[in-house]
Amino acid sequence: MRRFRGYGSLVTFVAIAVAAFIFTLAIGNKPLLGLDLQGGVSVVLKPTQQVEESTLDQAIAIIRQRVDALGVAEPEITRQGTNILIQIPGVKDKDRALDLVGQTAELQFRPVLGGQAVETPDSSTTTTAPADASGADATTTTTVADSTTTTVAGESTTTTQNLPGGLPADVCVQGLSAEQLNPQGQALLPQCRDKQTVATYQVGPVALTGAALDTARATLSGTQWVVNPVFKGGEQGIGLFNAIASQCYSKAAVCPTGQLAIVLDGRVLSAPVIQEASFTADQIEVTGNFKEGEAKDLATALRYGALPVEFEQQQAQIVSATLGKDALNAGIVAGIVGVILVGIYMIAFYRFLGVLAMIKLVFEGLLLWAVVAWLGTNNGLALTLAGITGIIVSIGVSLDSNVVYYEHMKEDVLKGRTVRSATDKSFTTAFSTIVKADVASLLGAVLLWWLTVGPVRGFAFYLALSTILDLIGAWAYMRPAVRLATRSRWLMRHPRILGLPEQLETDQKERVKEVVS
Amino acid sequence: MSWMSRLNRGQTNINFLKWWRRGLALSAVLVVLSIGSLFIRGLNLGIDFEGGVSWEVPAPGVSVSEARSALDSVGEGQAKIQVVGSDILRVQGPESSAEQTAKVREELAKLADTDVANVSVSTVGASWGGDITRSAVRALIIFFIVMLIYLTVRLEWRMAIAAIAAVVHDVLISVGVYSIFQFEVTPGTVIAFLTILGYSIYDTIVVDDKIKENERLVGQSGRMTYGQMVSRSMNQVLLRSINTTVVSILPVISLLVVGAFIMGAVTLEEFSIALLVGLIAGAYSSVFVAAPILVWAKEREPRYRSIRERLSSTGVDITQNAPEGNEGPRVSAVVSDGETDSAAPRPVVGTVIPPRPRKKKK
Repeated sequence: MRRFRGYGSLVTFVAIAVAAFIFTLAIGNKPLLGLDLQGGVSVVLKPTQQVEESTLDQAIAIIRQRVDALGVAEPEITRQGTNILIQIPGVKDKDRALDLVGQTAELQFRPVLGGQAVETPDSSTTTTAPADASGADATTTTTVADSTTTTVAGESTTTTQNLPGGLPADVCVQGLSAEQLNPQGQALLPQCRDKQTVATYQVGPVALTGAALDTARATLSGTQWVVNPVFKGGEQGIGLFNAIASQCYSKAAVCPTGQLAIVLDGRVLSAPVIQEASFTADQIEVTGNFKEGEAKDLATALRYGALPVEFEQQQAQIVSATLGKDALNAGIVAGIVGVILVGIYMIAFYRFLGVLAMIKLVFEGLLLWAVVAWLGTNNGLALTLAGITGIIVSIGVSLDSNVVYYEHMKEDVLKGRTVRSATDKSFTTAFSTIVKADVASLLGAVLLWWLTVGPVRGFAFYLALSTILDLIGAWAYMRPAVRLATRSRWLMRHPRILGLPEQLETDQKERVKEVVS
Repeated sequence: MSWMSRLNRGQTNINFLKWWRRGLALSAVLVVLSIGSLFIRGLNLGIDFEGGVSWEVPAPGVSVSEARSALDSVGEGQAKIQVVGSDILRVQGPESSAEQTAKVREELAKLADTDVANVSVSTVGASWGGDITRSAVRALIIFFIVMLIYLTVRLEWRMAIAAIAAVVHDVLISVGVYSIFQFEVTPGTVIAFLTILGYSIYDTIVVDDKIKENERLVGQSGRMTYGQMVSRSMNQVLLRSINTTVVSILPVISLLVVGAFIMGAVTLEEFSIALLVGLIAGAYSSVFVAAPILVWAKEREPRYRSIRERLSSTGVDITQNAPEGNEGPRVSAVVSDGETDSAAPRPVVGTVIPPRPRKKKK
């Protein structure tokens, strides 16, 4: 008989499983718990109208900026279909997180008290007039006018650690806290470009918000790109704007510079100088050295507030850490009890073969743990309660392949095959069944993962993962392990312990021995 | 030989030809009941499908009426209040403003004598559930098409159709169970159903594979009808089907009993009830729905129809299991109704494989 070469795969399988597990422990990879298990905030935002992918990506970028400001370890902001799913596990101030993410209009108009351009490291060589080059200067007027800025040219500071006025260098990334923004009083705000601070502005209390605006658009006026904001009529719209505009025009104490800053998410977008005392709601033009993109961005910001499109909150969840921990514990205990129950059943039914099946389950478990921990640490893929359920269900998937194989062996042995020949012969047939069935499960799981949203994906992912592990386990471990068992003379003499019926015809070799003894 | 031991050896002689008729009748009744209940009682949809706010807080010892009177003060006296799991208070109300949501949260924290951070809140817009349902239905349809193609390629199209019919049956009955018992339908439930689909096909494939293997018995000898062959195959794989089902159901029962009932994890309950219903329906339908539909489809093929007609005309009772062994038609040896009959001679299944002669050692 051809020498069987399968033991190599058995050794490899066991070695990889154990090594992966030890490796996981050694470098401290841990599964990342989903927010339903560790507490946190989850929000699903749905755009109120049809949007393009690029718009959604832009919105995601803005939301990410806001969430990053919370300083949470693993925020996850993803696009699912046309929805945006935001998951912020472990966040402490859950209400603020929810507010921050859900808000669509954080646009504010604040009078400028003083300003300062900042020399950024990457522009220091070319910038001669920082205030001008930065485009921070723009003019608000009914007629086209050239920029007449009062922005103080920066005394270029060599240090990049702190910005003038004590703003941290990474303020454009981190954002400012609610206290620093101080909507009722004064605040020092940055103007950002490519995450670099290009200017800082000392601003007064919020005069009006984006709510006063009706819409805004970018238009080409001659060769210049300009932005036309359109205010709502009445006291709460154009009335509010004109109130502050007249103050700025006369450079009154509340607006000594004559500039009105347009502030978005705590960052100054533009600080145009007010050129007239009073405006008509739809006859306003903001000019500056805008490039086309800049003008359009500003118009979008004016139109929708922070986000390029209006969202409605489809689902929001605040999960308390205690409830999450309870659910995790329940899942783990239920899993352990499930394994024990199944173990008792398998061993009662298949004796030693049942033990082999449970050992396979243990090795697959080690591999699964390693994969889950690796994905959690490196890819931010969280293990949710749905995922844990998927894993528990997959215990059944894994043992099913053993049942199919063992039953096939039993049938072959009853038909008169010797146990040893049945080991290989049945495996071929059984494995073909196992592959067919597992591929069906796998197809189902992949479709689910691909076509659905949220928690469904977690479930589908872990089910698919454990189905693949099962295929590997069945091929690399199951046959050689059973073969090894049938090599044991003692087990062969005790078929009840091995878990197979007695051979119809005794193996000839055995018979010869019996005659001799 | 005891019935158990014959089951263990795959040598039961259950007349599935007869049981299929009963099974199909039962399934028809269940499907009609399910659809009827769906129309009359509808489904108990959770807030995820209808929109609203749900608060949850661990509140040992707080009764529903205490909670109701406390919530009355913040204008949520009409909310649906339940104690779920072991001691978790769950309040569900219609959509409301953020301030109102926060107010209720504080009230509940006060009531449960705990920190506000321990109150979970879930706000759902009315369109969310619709989105989940739509994506689930789409997944379902694509799943059916892909499975149809896959099974047609790996097995054959009649088996594919029979398998899909069985899965449709499972889905209908599962939904029916949820409607009849008015279990709450949550996204978790939908997930569980969808996942069961792939899994429910597992059983059917195990059976179909065996049928494929046995098909040549009909073709070669023409001694039994397709139906009799499938019935025999069923007997041979019966234990396999039972064990794969038991092994899959045990962990789910553990989820339900230990995780949900004893330890009070509500989400686990949502998952596991749906999984349990789906698994049981799946195991049942692979034997009692997929198989008879396959037989019905196959026996319309001229080849198997002619075998059937020939056997029928020679006086063989084709409503009974085919006799075992190689001796040809033998009406007398057929066990009366397929139940236990210890007096019957021990049947030898299929062809006996003689021991392989030992090769000479070199």
